[in-house]
Amino acid sequence: MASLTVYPDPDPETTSVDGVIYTRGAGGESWATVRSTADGDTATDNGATGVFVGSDITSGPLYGLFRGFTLFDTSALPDGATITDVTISLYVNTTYNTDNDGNDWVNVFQASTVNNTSIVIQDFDTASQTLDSPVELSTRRDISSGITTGAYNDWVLNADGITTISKTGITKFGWREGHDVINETPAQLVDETEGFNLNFAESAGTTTDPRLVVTYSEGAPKVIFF
Amino acid sequence: MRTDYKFWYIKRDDDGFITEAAVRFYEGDVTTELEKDTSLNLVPITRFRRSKRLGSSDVPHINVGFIKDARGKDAAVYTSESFGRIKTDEELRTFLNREISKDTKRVAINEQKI
Repeated sequence: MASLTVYPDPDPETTSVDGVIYTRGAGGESWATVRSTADGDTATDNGATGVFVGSDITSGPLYGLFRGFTLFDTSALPDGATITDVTISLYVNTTYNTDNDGNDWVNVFQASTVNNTSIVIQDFDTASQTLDSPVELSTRRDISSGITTGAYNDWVLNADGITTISKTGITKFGWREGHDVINETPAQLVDETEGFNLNFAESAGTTTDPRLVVTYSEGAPKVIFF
Repeated sequence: MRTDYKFWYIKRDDDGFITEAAVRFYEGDVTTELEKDTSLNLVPITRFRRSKRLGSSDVPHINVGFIKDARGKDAAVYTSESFGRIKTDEELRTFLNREISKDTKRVAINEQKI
């Protein structure tokens, strides 16, 4: 099988981007309100490293959410390619896992950002197709037991994920933490954060950029008659 | 002025050999600017920042064909004619580090120096 490995553009972007949006509720705002907000507070798409996905609480309580985005220009795929496997890899520097309650995991979703080359605060609610019960494109990775720091971590896409790969343009993925996805208010155990920090495409070199590997066969699948 | 390259895509054949690599070249400098740390506080961060995506006319030392992406920006396309029979990203980086060292106007970033 042939393969295509694709990376997001670093800043200055031309066809794709990676980044993160953070939102934090004002004093008194509920978890539900923060989670369902349409626009985030801060969008970053030109940092080399940073928190990419997660939920946090500080005293108040003040609830915060990070939702990550990785876009890939997959237009180099042959039009007639039959895609068989897709893997997204993120190089994780540090994990944050104050509340290891089993809902501290990360998964990948189909995103629909406003632009292809920038992340804006209006993208906050586009990290997945729906806020509640979004279609998960891979297997959840538990932050405490399923993420390795100082290394690439792979999310192998399921059948739903494979169908999101564009052969003619930009393939867009959003990333959310478990408490955010299932709408479970994180328990406040002092100041708490669940998530991880990674290297973006902006970082120097090419050894830690977010990476998408698409395995495919070229042309129509062969049909064998018995 | 410093320079570096980033991968757009890498194609491999059924046997895992790299057949084609689309590469983007940039120029920039090591600068110190305020960026958010993990606590979202603005702190000074010193690192290489790219200021310009280089087109084919900016890199006369790169002697391969260029393609244009959807926004009309150049990417150099290398094939096995240039880098030979290789399989790994590291072999490709070793080759491209030699390519980028040919730039007489810019110095490669430390991560890509030969």
